[in-house]
Amino acid sequence: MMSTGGFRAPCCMHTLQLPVSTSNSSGMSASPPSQEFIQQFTQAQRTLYLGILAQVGDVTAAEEILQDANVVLLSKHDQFESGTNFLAWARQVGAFEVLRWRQRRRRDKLRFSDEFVSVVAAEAVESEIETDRRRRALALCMEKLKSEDRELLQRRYQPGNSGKELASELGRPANSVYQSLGRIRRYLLDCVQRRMTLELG
Amino acid sequence: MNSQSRLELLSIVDDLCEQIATQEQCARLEELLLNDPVARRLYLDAIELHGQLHWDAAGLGNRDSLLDSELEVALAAQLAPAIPARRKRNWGLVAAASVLVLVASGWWWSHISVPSGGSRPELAHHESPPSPPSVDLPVIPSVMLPGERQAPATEPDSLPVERVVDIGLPQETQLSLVSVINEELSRGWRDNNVVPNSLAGDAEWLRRIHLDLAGRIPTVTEAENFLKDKSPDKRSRVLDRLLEGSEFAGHFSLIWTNLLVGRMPRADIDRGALQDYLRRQFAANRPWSEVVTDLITAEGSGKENGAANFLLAHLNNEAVPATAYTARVLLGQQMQCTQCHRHPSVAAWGQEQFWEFNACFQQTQVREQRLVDAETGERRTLRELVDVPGVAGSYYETLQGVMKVAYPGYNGHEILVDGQTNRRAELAKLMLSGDENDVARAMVNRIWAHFFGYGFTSPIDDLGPHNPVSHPELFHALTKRFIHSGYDVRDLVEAICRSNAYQLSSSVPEETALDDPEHGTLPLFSRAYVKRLSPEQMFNSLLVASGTSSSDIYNSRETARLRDQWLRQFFEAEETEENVELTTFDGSLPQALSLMNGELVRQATDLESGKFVSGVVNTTESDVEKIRRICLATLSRYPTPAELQNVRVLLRSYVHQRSERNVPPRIAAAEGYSDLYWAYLNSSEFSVNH
Repeated sequence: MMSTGGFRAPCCMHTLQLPVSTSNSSGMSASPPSQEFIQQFTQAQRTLYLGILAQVGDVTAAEEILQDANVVLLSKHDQFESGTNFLAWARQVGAFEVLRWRQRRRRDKLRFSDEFVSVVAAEAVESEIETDRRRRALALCMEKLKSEDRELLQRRYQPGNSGKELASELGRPANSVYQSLGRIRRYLLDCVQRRMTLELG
Repeated sequence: MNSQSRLELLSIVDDLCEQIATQEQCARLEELLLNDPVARRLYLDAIELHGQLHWDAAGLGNRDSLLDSELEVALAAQLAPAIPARRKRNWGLVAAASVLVLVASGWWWSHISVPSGGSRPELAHHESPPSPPSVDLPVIPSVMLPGERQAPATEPDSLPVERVVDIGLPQETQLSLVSVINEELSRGWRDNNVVPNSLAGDAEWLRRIHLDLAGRIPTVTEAENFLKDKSPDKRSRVLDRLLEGSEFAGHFSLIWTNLLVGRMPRADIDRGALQDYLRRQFAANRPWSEVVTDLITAEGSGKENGAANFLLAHLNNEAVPATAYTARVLLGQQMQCTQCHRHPSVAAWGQEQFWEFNACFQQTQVREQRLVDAETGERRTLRELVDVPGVAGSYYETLQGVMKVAYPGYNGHEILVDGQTNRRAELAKLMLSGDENDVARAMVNRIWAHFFGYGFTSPIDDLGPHNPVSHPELFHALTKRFIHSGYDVRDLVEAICRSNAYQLSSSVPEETALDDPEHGTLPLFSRAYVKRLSPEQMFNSLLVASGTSSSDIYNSRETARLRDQWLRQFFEAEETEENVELTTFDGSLPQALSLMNGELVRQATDLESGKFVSGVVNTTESDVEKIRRICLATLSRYPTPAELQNVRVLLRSYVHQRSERNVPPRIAAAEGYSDLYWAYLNSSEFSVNH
């Protein structure tokens, strides 16, 4: 065995480093988040998720983006000032993560335009005020479903499931399952909207 | 907006929900929305409805009604590498429960900061100063509430400095070495005006000694019996049991296999044979000098001679990796850069020394033979280490661009270049000569760091003269003693485990706050430093916490296979010629996320497949007892009263909330316990050894 003349192994491990720096170079904060922060953080999860979902239209993508946003929120928790609007801040972080996700997806076909995303994001802020009421209304409307419809819906929304898989489980054509699900969602949507107006009036 | 476009919009949203919408449909949706506020509102309501159903799994419990076919899928998936998964959890409860866990228990790592210099990718291969467990897990940020400091399970006495702490151990044989450690460390405390921490409570101590010696947390039975036990020598008995048990050898052989050949599976070596070889050596407590000699001088195939795998793995690239690994792992010397650079501070370390050392391996080659199995007809390649006399030296190019040749040698001693001399055997002799050689220093420093979290130097595998040593006299004494004892690893381990410093608590009171090696000061060992679990410790502990028998951890082939598979997600080989691996198992958020959402944790917490959690849920014990058992199984301690109270309130309100959704209370409660268990498994208290 003999080294050839020009041989140089890549010497990338400069292990004789500078003294370990004590500065906080990674941008992460050292102190633990406050209890208020954690409460707000926990409460904001659903709202954030729904807002992101509206902008990307895909439940799985929305989950990924939410996780990314959570990482940022937690690592920057000390930038949050007690008493200020947590959700507004979290929403900004979410919007930024949506942007990053879209940039990563640029090579794929982009589903929605930038304009759409910003219009929907703005509208989502308006709509959030009533999210909780709609959620309660939805729970009541679910009870009014025929039991086979409710079961179909519940099977569809089992974690990890999709309409297509449900169709193959049931041995039904996918399109017919999509139609049933669409009909049930439409019923629920109408029911929720009716309840919202009734309660207002 | 007319009813026709309303229907059109809703049907596009339906297709979005089913992930079958086309680009044309999306464009049409935009058209409908952009100029019509009513349409925007409708879109938001419709997609929100879909999101709500998804988030709440349409009002169902998340896991209690898995369909059979899905269960099968889940079981099949258990063999696939864990995919960072979807949300499977009801975040509200989990996050809240996590917070409670932390409120009660999270005080001691709230002091842990982020590793500095985080921008540099951490090389798994290169042991930089052990970066502390850094960022807390995402849903489990640590919280420290005033007045919530947890008292250790037993009231610690203040530590009598300069006296051997009586933990009921027979100490005749160990006394001298233990008192050397105690005296030297106390001197450091006095000189630096540091008061040593209080003693670790029973629970803290038990978890620490199990993780350090057996590479896993104690089982729920072990913890229960130990906490109940009132006899004064109970710690001594645990120490003896662990030192003599087979898990010590299992744990240390895993550690050393990783150090010697890395964690990535490689087709060209037999990792399992190396590990089996090491396991036998640790089990028999064979002198470390002999193990090192085996590794350096091994011949034959990796299957027949497990020790041969070390060099079989590193003879590529002109044996540069073999040179660098031997120097770094076995000798604690960082030579790899001097192959083409001048050492910045140590003049004696130059290219020449690197290539002389390298020349010791030049006689050795990997002979490959293609074999066809007579019975199965399977083709395989047999790789064997053979020595080929006749090669003189190593050729290299100097910094000035001149070709030179280096003849075998080590540390200023030449090795004869003739037909008879076995260079590797000579090298091993030279490495082990002297009354304070680098083989012994490197091992002492590693073992010390294994138990205390920091070595005498940082990084632990850089013992060069430029690197300051925190306790030179102690390091010196331990090294001499180690050589004198015949390189007796277990003797050294036992002395360390009986030292005063090892008994200290890991809490960070004001008095020891100055002792802060995370921030670059030399460690004083005035408290136990919190150590992050290695991936192997994490895997083993997750298994133990989920009810796997501790005897399966190192003895079951299936467990070993699953462990290797699980580890693979965190490591990748770097595309260089230096046999380096990169890891994401570094206490970072990606690590935390892949753990939280991984298949292993999912199965452990699954009410169907999780042995431990289903066992707890199905007992007729009281709520309090169930919560206490979950806490004990995961964190090896009982919950504090405040913690217990908070968890109960939380569980009750969860069950109430679920019953409003027509979930039977029994199922809701089971979900609640499973979520609590999940929260404990993902707490930062679980992921560290404290």
